Amino acid sequence: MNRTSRCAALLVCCVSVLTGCVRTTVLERLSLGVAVGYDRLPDNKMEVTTVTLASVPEAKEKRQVVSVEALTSKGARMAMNQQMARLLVSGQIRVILYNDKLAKEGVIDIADTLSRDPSHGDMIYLVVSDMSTRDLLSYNYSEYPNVGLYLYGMIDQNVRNEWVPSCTVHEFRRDYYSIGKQPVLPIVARQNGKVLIKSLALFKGGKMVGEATREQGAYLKLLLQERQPSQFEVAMPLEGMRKFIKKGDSVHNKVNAVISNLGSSSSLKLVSSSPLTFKVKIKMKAELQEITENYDFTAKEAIGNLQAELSKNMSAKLMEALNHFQKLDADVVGFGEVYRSSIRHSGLSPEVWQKKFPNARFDAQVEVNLIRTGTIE
Amino acid sequence: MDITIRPKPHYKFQAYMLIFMVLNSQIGVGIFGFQRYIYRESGHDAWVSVLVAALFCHGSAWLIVSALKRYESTDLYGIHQDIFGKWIGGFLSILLMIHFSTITITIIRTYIEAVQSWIFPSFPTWLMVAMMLSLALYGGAGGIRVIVGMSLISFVIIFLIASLYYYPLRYAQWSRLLPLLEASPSQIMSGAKHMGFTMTGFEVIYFLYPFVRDKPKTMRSMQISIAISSVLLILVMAISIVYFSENQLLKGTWSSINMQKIVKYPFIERLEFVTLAVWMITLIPTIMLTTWITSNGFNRLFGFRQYRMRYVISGFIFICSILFVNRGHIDKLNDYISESAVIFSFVYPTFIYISILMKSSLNKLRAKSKEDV
Repeated sequence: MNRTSRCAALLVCCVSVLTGCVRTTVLERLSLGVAVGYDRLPDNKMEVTTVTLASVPEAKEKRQVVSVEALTSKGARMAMNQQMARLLVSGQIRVILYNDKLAKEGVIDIADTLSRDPSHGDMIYLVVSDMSTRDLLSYNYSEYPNVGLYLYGMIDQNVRNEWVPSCTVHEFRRDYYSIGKQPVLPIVARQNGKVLIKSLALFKGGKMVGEATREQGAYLKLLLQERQPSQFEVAMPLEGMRKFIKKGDSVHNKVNAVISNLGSSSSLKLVSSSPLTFKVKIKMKAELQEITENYDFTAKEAIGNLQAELSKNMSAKLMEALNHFQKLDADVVGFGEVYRSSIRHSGLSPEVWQKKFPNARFDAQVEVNLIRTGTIE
Repeated sequence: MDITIRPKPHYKFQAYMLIFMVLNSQIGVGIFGFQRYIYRESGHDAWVSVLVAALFCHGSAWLIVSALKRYESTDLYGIHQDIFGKWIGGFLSILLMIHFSTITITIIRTYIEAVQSWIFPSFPTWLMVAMMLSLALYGGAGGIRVIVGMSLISFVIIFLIASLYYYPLRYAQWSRLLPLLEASPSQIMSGAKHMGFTMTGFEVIYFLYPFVRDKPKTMRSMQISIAISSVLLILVMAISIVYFSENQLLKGTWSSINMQKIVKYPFIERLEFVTLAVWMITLIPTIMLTTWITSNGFNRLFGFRQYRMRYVISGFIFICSILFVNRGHIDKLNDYISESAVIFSFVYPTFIYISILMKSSLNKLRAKSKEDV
């Protein structure tokens, strides 16, 4: 036997013997959790509910839901295994839900636990539920085979295309641990036996302090410079538009228009530090998709007028959203970060910023550039 | 011991191969989580600290190669012998050998700690150490040229893995780098000092120099290699700053691995498990090289057979490695090594260079006085 073949034999031996040393995880012997919900119970206890993929192939249901009471999230997993025929693992969890009561008490411990355990990815979505998560997850939905996967798909779709700001564990922890920005998560609810994203939960110091509507969420998302919401619906008072609306048509006192966002950019600038003033500017290229009145596009200045009206009304909405965030004292846009990065040696700390933020003034401006009006005029 | 080494031609390699070897011994386990130590000192200007540390590396490498150039073909063991004589020189050489063994232990133990934390929590330490050491022994049996070849492979792997840091950039908040240069010079310097263990490794040229075929090109290869690794580390640092927020970065033990948690493909959801495992291939050449340097030292100092000493040293490293049980021990080891790395890679080369200059001027004076007489 020469040297090479001896080495090869040794290698084969090593490979065949040593591969048995590591604990194996055979897929057929595992239950994969896909969604976990946390509810607050008295005495510092939590109720934890997990939706798993069906672990028994013959079962009618495509999911299995287990709920336990526990003090910690890992303790919950131990308690859940008491009910499982197969080991419950957390590597496939995609959505974590918090009951809004729990969210108001603070959820950073649970988010940190997720990050501490390397078996969880950083791309898990965190969501607030406006009802008991146990009720939400264990409800018998006739249309979804697995509510956990459905929730994930629903949030993912809205984060990618629509108004929901990205709400992954990484982003939640990033904002929580930053000096000048607060996290924001979507709120899910059940209405008429269907789940939906109702609004946004705004946080301050890791605790939920209020909600923001869909429209406010859309403006927030424009400022966060993430994937941008695709469409905006703008209601405008009739005053400025009357000139171009053809006579004889039925006239309401509001004109509603829908524009699609072809690309926008936003800038946050610190104008002066005392009084604290920020200039918020959004530039948006848009295409008109729908308008509720018979608007005369052929007239001179018609498009310019529409553009100006859109800008004016959207600026007002943006201002409204900013004031709402300020009223709740939740700096979800990250003005603190703008302040920190524009002022040298500011020595900003979260506490200092929390004192400054309520006194900040905003100068909000949306500039719509109406590129075309669709395929007709 | 002869001061000059004349390796057989088939042991020699081209100077450009130093680019891979030096880069590989610089980029090791330090890159896993160096960010928070620097960030703690110099805040969002941490990347400037890395840049400053890189400039020091360039300077130190210049000193090392200039010192070596004053000899025909020798390594640090030879220089010690030449300047300090048999006893003091020998003592310094043994100190260096201990230093390199400690580096090997640190690399092995830190890597295993990362693997146990991320992938296999119950994987026995001794088995992992044994696997890494036997791989290094097996590869090292081929001599210095095999180590060179392995370094080339790991060079490629380092760059493949580094290219994954494009993904965190999608979550970048660039304002985190502003305002530029807010940290005071002393903060930046103390951040740079913490780069010690992560950036050192280029001092291996002290021992590789005799094996370089085209010696005049050594300096150029060294500087290129250090420039590449510096750019890589500065990028990783800057990406960490824009990806994590202030206190989040300070919390993460292994920020570099954490940043890969978001890389997701339809067929592999968690790429960091793969990259962490593959990273072992980039560590093996470093272990091979450091054990080679130590065993070569035994050969040069005491005339022991090098291939036997490799087994002895590996056994020693094996025993030492399994003595470290928990994270506290490993952190202490890392703290110690980052201090000693600064001494051995920056202070010591300066000391050696000055000693050589002093010695040669003394010799000149002596020669002159002889002439005068």
